Amino acid sequence: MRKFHQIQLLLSFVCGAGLPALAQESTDAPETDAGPPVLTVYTYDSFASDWGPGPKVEEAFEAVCECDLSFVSVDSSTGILSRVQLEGDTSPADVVLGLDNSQVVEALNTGLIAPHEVDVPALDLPGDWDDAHFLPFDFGFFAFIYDETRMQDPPDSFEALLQADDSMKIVIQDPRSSTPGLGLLLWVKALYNDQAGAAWKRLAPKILTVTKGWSEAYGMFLEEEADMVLSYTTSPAYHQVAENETKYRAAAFEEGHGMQVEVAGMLKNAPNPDLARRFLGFILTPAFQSLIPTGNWMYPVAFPEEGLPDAFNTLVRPSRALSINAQGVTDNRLDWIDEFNQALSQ
Amino acid sequence: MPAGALAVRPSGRRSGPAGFTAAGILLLLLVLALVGGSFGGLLFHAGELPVGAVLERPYTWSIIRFTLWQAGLSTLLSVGLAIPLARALHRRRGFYGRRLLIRLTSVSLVVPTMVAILGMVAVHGRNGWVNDLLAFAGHARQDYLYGLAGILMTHVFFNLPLATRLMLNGLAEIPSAQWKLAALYGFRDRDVFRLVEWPVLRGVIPGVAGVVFLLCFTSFAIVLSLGGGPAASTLEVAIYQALRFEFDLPKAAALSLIQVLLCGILTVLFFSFRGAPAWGAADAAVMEADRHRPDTGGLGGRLADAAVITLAAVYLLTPFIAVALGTLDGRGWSIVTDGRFWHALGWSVLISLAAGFIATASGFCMAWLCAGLDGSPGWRPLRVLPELVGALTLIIPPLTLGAGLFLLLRQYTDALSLGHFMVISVNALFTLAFTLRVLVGPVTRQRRRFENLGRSLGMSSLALWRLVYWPVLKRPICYALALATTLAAGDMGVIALFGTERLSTLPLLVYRLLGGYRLEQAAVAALCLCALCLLLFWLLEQLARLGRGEARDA
Repeated sequence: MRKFHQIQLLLSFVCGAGLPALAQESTDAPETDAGPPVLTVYTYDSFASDWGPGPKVEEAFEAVCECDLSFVSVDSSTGILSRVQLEGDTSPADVVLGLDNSQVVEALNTGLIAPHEVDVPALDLPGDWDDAHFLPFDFGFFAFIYDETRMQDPPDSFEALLQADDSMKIVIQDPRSSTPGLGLLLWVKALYNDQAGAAWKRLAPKILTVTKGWSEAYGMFLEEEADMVLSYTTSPAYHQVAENETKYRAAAFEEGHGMQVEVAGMLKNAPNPDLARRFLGFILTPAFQSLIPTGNWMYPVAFPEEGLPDAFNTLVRPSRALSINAQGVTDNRLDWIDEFNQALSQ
Repeated sequence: MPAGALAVRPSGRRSGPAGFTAAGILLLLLVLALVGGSFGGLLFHAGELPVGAVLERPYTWSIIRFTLWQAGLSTLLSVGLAIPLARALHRRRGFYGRRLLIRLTSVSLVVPTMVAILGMVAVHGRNGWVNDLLAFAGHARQDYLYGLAGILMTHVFFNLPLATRLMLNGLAEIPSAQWKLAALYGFRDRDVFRLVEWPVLRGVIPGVAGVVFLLCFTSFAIVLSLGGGPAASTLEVAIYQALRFEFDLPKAAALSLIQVLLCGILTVLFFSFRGAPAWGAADAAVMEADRHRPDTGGLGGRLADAAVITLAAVYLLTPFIAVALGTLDGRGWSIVTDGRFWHALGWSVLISLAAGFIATASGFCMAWLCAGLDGSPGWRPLRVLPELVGALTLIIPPLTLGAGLFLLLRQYTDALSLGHFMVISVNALFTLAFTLRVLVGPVTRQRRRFENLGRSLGMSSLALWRLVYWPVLKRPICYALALATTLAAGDMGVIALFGTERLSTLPLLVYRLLGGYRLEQAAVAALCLCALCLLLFWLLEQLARLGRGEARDA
């Protein structure tokens, strides 16, 4: 497979043109070498990246499946869905991994997802899971992160955050382009419902800026631009494990925290349906789950027998996990985004 | 249409190597087919286009207004500030670091946006250097970065160097004789500007402003992240939302169409001010300001120029320095011992060189076609066509193009199996607009000046090429190659569209490191990317020095 890519590269040097012609050729070429079947999994970039759990998951699954697991990384979880929608019935993907609980109805509505048919054991996930199409693989809670050397008295509730002095600045992400951004939108909606617009207006003067993605926001926070940043309760674990740095904390809010559950599902037109189903089953096994905490910096849905890494035991565990059912999200999120836009545009 | 037809001169003789013209036509059609096909594919797939419905929403109008407003202001500032800076740099050729400054300006466009944003924050943020200075001087800290100011400041950071470089190229094309005349008449500074420099700049500015405007019009992450809130959005953001978030293809297509029409009209307007800008003089000529300038004396002038150059250098270099200083604690440097870093570096070099060569070769053939059209009265009005097609790739949102390509190719193959090939060709497509702008001017001038002469001397195509064209055109060609290659090396948009597990480049690595909390390593990788671009730029420009036959482009 790799060699094939190199040949294509060479060809592209030589030709520089004639894209359709080359495209035509390539449909015949790769099928001829009869190696192990290739399981194609679409996921978001930081999962598949060298610094995410992807490479180890690949190794672990390939050890048992006699197949070649190939991650295809898309820039974000919304990218995964739009990619399979663009490709439609012809998508080469077997499995999509990395959509979240707010997207499941929308993903199901595409008609491209097949039931997983996996017996789901008891999980360490807040609430029950009985979705016939998607399997959860990890979860986490949105939270505002602060630096305890710079902020001694962080807000202890969302209400306290809204009441905080306007000189306290936070950085958040845009719900249109970022998963935590959408997570916060839903969190506010779950807490304030009809009053969400008013809540956003109260929050507005404390918002330093709304970034496109998580990285810009988190980078600004680390450069001490803002007092708090929207991220996950698990973010401090990274600093503890990788940098031995304990000053970053998540502010625990007494009303509870927005929850995100990340899921995987297989496509109806998966080229390798049996393999895809096997992979979905594999997701819930310790071999996969043990890679999640310090690979994806989220909670695994099945805690390992030896327990979570130490750093995870020091984290804030929300008193209540808040989420909005996916149907409600699918039906209303455009209105809610308008509400957000209007509240912050004044 | 027979291949050589467009290049036929009134004399009826075939002009120049007809192969270039034929290739130019073929490439023009190919680009049109690719861009038109993918965009058309999306439009077709979308079915009916809700342009009316989209335009009925007040929100659409508010973002169109804001997009035009911020892009217009950014262009005005970048181009307006570039004029004094280019003049000062052209006047003062002796100062230490001039070469480095000019080179650095050539790679500003490749800095990953996220790194630039963090660099700007480090210098101009609430906790940045400027505020540290203010606090030190006993003033209150100011939040000036977030909002329209931050957008404009960052756009100027990206585009001022580009505009300055292109204007410097223009100034370098002023023949020595003009300067000698100016000296003879005893022109003062004002006269020099009005009578010598302005006529040249007037020709360059519309093209420069056009490109800067398009780059700012389609800006995404900067506008969103530094704009302060959702009120600061561009059409590009709305297209992203429609395509990614809502998967509303008709809406995405309608918004893209609005963007394409708006930008298309504005681009034609910019072009119509004056045909092709005179981009891409030989780099060496830019490096050696003309000795005959009469206005280099005088203490006032010296001080003013020194102030302009210093201010610009401080403004443009501090964000780089801030990022570099951030890596000094040494934690991030572990990345260079990582095999994955070198893997990404290798692919960056390979992909950018391949894309750069393709873009330069295609740009040259299309510029040749442009010159042919320019030279034959019947076809003259069509001469902007190749350039317009080149600009198309700056106008069409990359996401739209990517979505269209997926729709177009899915009937033939899965676009994925074409991974590297797609990344290279789409990158070549995106940098074509730049190589075209560099090459159209010199190629047209050279053909206009020497073709008939060469023919009347009975020179063969090969001899004409070897003795007349290549010696002069090799410099702009190498400059175009250097520019296209570094632009492709810094690409993030295309690679994110087609990225696969096996594919990794330095910008992608930076992005992944940032996404995985590893900010220090990301900063180091970004610095290495800048260094790589500088190196590539310098090496490729040196290609022009190989071989015999040094000649000066006029």
